[in-house]
Amino acid sequence: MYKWRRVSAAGLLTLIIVFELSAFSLLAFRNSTLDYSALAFGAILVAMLLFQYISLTAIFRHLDRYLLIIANLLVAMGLIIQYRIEAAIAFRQIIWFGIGMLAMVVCILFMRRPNIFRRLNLLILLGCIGLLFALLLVGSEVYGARNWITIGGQNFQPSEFVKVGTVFVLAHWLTNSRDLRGIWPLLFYVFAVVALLVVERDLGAAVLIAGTALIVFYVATGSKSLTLLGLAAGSAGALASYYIFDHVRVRVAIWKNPWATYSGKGYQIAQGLMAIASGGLWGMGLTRGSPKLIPAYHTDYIFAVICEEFGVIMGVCIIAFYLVFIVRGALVALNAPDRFMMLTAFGCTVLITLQSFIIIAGVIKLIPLTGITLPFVSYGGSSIIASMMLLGILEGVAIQGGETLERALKEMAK
Amino acid sequence: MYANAYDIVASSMRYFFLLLIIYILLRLVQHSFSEFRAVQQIKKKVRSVSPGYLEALLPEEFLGRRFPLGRENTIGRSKRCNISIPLPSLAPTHAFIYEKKGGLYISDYGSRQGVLLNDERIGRHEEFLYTEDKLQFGGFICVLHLSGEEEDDV
Repeated sequence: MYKWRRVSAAGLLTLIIVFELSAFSLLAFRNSTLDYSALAFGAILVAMLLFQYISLTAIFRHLDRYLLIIANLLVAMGLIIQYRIEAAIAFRQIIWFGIGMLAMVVCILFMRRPNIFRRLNLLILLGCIGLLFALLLVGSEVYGARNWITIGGQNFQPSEFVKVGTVFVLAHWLTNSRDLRGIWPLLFYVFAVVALLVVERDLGAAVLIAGTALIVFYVATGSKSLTLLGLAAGSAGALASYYIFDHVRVRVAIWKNPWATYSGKGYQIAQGLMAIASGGLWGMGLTRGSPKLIPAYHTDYIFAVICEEFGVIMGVCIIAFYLVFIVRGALVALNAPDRFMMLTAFGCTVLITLQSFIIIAGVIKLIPLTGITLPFVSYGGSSIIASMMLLGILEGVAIQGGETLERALKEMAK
Repeated sequence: MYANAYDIVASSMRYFFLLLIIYILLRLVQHSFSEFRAVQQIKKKVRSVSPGYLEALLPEEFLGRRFPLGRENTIGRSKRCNISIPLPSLAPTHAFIYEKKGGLYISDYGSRQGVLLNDERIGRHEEFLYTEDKLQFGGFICVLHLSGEEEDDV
């Protein structure tokens, strides 16, 4: 049925491999002695991508190949930049990517029996709130936000996993009812999660979850009036937090004028803007920029580093890739076998979309900067595992939709 | 010397990387378009045979009975309806299920009991139907099954 699709997707994967191998070869030659580990790294990444693609497409015939390819490209781009900055970062990230691939397969398998998530809904709901609450008590503060937990020497960011839980909570409650009375547990959940995140200074995640909840709510109910009410409530909350919390005021101040506090809090935004500007349209060329001048160069600000070395055109292309991801995700949602899976797939799509928009817009100073990662590209174990889980959920829904359609065709042929 | 040579290579490879990525992007968009259209064609073919059926749950005597749906279906007490349910709690013509733009919609024909979709009254405007939606017309409760969309426990 989809033979030509298989060929064209494989062709694109080949091009991605070409891109990645040439980038790592270039990196291998940057010092006068050949850096063999760069070549080895590139080869390992190629092997992982090929293994993932071939095994997944062999087992699941209705996998959405293009979503997988976009994610692979973004991860490869991220790893290239991370290796360029510091090889140790990239080595750690590729291990997290491997774990993420496993998490993705687990999610795909779980989506074959999505009712598990519906039955466990209360557990997920309370678990997420509990997790964020625990952060208040035992969380450690990094970069001014209290959203990290250290287990066995490794840092985890629980808010990333709360994102995944939120998708299921949203989908479950919005599948059954379309009015406010029926979904009051959901409203309580969103309010509690957003409030906890704001208190813990993880403003990016707070905006992300609030925005996702609002959009999925509108799609599920179609009620413009209630959605506008929710938007008003969210804006009121944002305004209130501006007056109550000092750290919100700081963010808005440095957004309006980072140059005024250049040597202090505005340093990050200013450096990011200067990096993008020095890159120009075509970039300075791989290894010819100075990424380490920007704080959080490997996580939140990785987009600025990409723009500095590869150019603004490349930055626009990356935005375009996220847009294609969104469109394909929406298509997967529309082809979903039932309402719960449709809302789940849509929730995942909105999450990834909104997250990339929020961080890219923050880096280019379109909106105040928030501390969230660029999905798939940024360094961060929890970030890439959560992103791969969301991808796995999307793929799971795509596979179910495709299998159902195939079964219907077989019924017709009888 | 070496540094200069490397700089030249790195600078020229900028254009190579960029062109490669732009090409990948364009092919991706093109392939997505054609695949989307192909899937739409298949779905249309499946839907044109029959949009689906209603499987009755209550009252007891109707349990399990399947009522196949055509492009347009009237549901009610009257024998002239496409799906005729001889129960006093239904209006003569209770509701209308029809296909529009590739999707299935239901609208209340103005019955007194109203039409409940997933236990909520649908009101005046039409509602879009998903597979496994529960419909209630007076005392008659059934589940919608759309063809081309399958559920968990078959």
